[in-house]
Amino acid sequence: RRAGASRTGNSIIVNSCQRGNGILKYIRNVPWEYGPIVPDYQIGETACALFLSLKYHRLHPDYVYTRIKQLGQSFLIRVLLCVVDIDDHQSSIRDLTRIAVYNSFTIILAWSAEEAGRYLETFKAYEHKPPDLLKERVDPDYLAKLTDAITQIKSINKTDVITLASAFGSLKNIIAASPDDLEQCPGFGKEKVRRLHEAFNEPFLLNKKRRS
Amino acid sequence: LSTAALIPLNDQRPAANPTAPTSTSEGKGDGLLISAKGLGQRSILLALLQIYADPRGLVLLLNTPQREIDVLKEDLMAMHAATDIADSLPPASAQRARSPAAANDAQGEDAAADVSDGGQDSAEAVGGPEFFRTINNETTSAERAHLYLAGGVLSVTSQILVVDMLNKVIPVNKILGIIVNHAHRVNDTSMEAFILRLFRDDNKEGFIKALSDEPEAFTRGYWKLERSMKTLFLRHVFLWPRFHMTVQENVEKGKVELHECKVKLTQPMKEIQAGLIDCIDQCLAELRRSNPTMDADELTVENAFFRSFDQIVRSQLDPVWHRVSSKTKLLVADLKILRRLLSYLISYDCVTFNSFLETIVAANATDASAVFRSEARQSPWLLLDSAQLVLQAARQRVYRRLAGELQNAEGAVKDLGIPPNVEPVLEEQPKWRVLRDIMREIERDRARRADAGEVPGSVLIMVDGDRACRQLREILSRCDLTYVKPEPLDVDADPNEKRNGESSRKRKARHEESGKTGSEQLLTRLLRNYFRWKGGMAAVSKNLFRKGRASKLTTTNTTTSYAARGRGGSTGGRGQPLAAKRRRTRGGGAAGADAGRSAEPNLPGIGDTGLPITFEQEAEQIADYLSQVDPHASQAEPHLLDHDQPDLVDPVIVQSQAFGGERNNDGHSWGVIPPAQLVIVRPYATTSMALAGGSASNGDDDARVLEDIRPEYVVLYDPDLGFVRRVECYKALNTLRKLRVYYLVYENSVEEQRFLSLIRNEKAAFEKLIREKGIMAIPIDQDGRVSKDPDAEFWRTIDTRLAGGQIISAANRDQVVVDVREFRSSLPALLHAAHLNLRACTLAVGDYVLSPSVCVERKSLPDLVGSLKSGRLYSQCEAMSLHYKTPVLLIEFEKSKAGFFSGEGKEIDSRDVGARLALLVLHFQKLRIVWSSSPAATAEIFVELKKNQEEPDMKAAMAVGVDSSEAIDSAYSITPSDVLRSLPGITSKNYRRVMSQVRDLKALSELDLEACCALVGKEFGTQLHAFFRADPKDEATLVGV
Repeated sequence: RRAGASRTGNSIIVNSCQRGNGILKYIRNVPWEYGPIVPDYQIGETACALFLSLKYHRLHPDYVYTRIKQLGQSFLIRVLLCVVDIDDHQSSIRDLTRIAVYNSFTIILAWSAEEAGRYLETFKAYEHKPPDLLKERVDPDYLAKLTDAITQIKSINKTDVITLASAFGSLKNIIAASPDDLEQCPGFGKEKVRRLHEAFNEPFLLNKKRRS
Repeated sequence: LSTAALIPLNDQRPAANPTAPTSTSEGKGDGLLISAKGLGQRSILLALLQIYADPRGLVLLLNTPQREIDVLKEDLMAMHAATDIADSLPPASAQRARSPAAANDAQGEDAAADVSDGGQDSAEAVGGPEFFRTINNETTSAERAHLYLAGGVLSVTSQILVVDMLNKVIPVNKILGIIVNHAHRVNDTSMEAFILRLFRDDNKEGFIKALSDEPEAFTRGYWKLERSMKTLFLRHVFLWPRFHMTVQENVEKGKVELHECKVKLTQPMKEIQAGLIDCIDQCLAELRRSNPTMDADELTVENAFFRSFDQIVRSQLDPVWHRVSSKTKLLVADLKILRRLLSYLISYDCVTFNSFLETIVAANATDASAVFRSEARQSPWLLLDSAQLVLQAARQRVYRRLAGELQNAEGAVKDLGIPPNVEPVLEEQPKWRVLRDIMREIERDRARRADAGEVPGSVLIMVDGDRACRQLREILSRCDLTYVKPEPLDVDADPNEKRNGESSRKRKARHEESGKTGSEQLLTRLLRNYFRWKGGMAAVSKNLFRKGRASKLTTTNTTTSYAARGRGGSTGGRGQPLAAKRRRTRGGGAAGADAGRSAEPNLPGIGDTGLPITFEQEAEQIADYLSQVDPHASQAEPHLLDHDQPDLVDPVIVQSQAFGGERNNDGHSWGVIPPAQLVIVRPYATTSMALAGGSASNGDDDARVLEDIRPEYVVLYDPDLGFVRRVECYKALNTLRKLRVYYLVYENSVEEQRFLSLIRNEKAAFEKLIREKGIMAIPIDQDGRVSKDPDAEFWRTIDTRLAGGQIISAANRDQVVVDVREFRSSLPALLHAAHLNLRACTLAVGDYVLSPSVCVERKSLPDLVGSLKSGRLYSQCEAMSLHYKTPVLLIEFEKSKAGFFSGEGKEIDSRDVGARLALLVLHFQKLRIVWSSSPAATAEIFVELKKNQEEPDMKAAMAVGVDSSEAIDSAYSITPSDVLRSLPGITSKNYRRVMSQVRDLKALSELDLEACCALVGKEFGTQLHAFFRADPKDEATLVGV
């Protein structure tokens, strides 16, 4: 499945065809080494990147196709790292977007060699990083946490959370409350109660049957 | 009808229905009318409405807020009624019955005649106000379809109209025309522009009329007027400045007797003003220094006085806003605050002004000490010397600290609820005194005229804002105006008038009191509230240490509910409920609610919070003091409290009631109270939230008031350019009426300067527009009436792939499903221009659906930065990945270079946009990114992406993500898992395990500590267990949560 990939360890594997590429000197925070790989850069166990300068692309529009063909279906995360080094980039980007979307590539635009280098090293460095950084940051006090949890349910807002907390006390009690009790709260219509009740009582895993 | 009555409104009529020869006969009814503020645009709109409120044609009214619609509707009704009267009565009496309405009406008929010249039906008595209707988001689609076919004038929310036009609910080719109100708000990317484009696509005959009374708006930016005309599909513009000869002549027919009163600022006010201006100056200098790219010419102190300054700054900084330093952002926000302070200096009383200042200081102090607010720093201007002067002067206007502690603890001051070592100064606003003088003069004049057998008219005082309005009302109702008014006979008069009467009774009793009574009482009461607030502040900041901003809110509540209780009149216990209430605030949430009913003299130690500044210490002292003295104080002056209670409530709320009443019953209350006794204090419609029902209205309400009340004395307590014009128009329409106008302005103040530059700017704007109009190049086909290339049209509707074009399937080709919310951006319009067929609906997942497998989430650069930070993008990508094979993130970078990594940083910084984007790519393998330099480029990319793809299904797209149980690609239900994942102790690593082990949230919440720990580990398990059981009512359970 991972034809052409090699064990990466902690460093970025660079295809020797990239020798002399200006971005290599900007890969500073992660070690890199040459290796026999199909893509230009292997930036993770299952991630690779092709490098393309738009200037080059304009002169040799076929180049990127050959590279993509060589790569086949290997790698899960396939990045097409484009350096925008021409002014009139609109049509090139349009073409590349189409190629990328239907060949499972993700385009990353960089405006300088340095930026491109930063992307590569970031990809490698973040290879095993959990996405928590991207998720909502929750304020550490109780009300904020509670609000964050309950407002996940559609149509429940912050005021509702306070209403619930003051009416029932703990989250456990809120969850245990019957639909009738919930409906007594100001601002709780049928729909809201239904949503709350469903969220608390619906099993996490749906239709196990279909799955197995 | 006297011709004078039709002027100057009459003169503008040709503008709306231009009769000037044009190159195409069809474009006759089209035009953009730009008039000076206050020159009666409402009358033109009304005339148009009257003509088109007719079931035989459908006319759309765009861009008109609900509030204005309501008023227009009322007026239309009145005009309709007046027409009926006019039909049965000779003209003279009709005019007496309701002169402005009759005048408008006659004009309307004139206009109607004009239109019938243009080949359209005249509106004689067929339609009526019932054919002026509204469509908003409460109207169901079935009702809408019906209304569109019923004809008449329809005011439609733009967003709904776009959707209906795209989904072909409205027969576009049957629309008679479109009236665009507030045309200055339309730009090439706004929804109205898209509507007009859709309209012109299918309808070459209908008219487009656009109205605007903001000439300045058309001079901002390059060739704004020309571009606006292009977006509006108009070829003619009509300019009606105040200095237009015809306007000039007509307005001058009714000379207004004007008394200008220049009021001097007091010394401390001058100091404050100078200090604030200095702060603004320094902020601007700092802004220029830190952002050399900004256009320094625009950053002047004078510009900074206007609200439009924010727009200037933002438009300069917006392209780089995501890279602008937090300091600059702070400066921009500071400038906003400083400008507000400048206007509050004049419109607020000294106490309120001071407490506003102190709130700013407090908010800054808490920010600075907060651990979690590393980005927000203390506003730099507060550290300036001039800021210190401002703070000092503001306080000096309110009270003086006495050197010796507790010297006159038993003195009279104590009774007022004011700490002992404080001597109130309570400087009056200078205008208050002048206003009282004016009122005395007016009352004398009225008395004299009443003696002479005349019937003197009412007095109208116009004020900026609800708060000032309420205060003035109180001051005037309490002060002695020498001339004692007769008691109003009717008890049913509106509450406000009743209060007037009541106090006049009291005034007779306390006749010896000086004229200052009103303001003194007001200020003293405010001062007491102020100290109470300051006391509460200490407590709140103790409990919610980091929430300085919230504290203000809480304390307001305290005073309000105190007011309510006091009003209830519970004898003797008045101080106690207050104490209990305040304790609750102090206790933080509900924790200390039931603590002590008795008014405890000593507070539990607040002194150890270590807040940085003396403000807090002082607040503590005051809190201490108040808790001891309060019950006593409230009993000591019962009568004071009694009257004051209603006013303690937040002014804006009271306002709406007092005024709502006055407005709604104007029918009878005007009848009952003779105008000779009437003094009406009213906020300008543009400045009052209460009047407009929460949204600012345009100033036309004020013109209506003039016509309704027909005052003989008008006091412009605050200057307002539009209102000056309205008075002029009113006088010109009613030349025989007596009208005396007093105009109050602070000499050498920002207020004066602001007013003068307003006039200057408007004049300059018109001059520029006139020049621009002269040299504007307008293509003949700009009005969009010329059909497009017929060949192109033909090929657009034909699909050669199917039976060589014999089968027409255009309607279902090139479909893009668009989320309704997206119509706020310009992209849908451009997609439409790129010949894509848009289908509008509400999408739960994604913004655009290009094919059954491709779903796009659009992010502009600031959006991208924001949503990467807030976590919104993560959940959006998650949802898209769940439901679509190819989720696409569309990044709209500006033409300039984006630059996603900060500076020369050597380390990988997780705060960088680029780093987060990389992380996003790593976590969503299916996610594709589309980069686009402009919406136009996006449109091209969409066309490209849609090639050889299946068409999306609108119904399917709408169903996606709407109900969790129907989820296609998910093995678990979405909402419960969302809730689960946001619980403390649950991480991205262990949530799957939890979901497979526990049935649902309820079961999870009932797990005991051991089971929890077994499930997710000891630390997380404890967290989770405690979180479920934490009870905000019981402080003990909150520990460690």
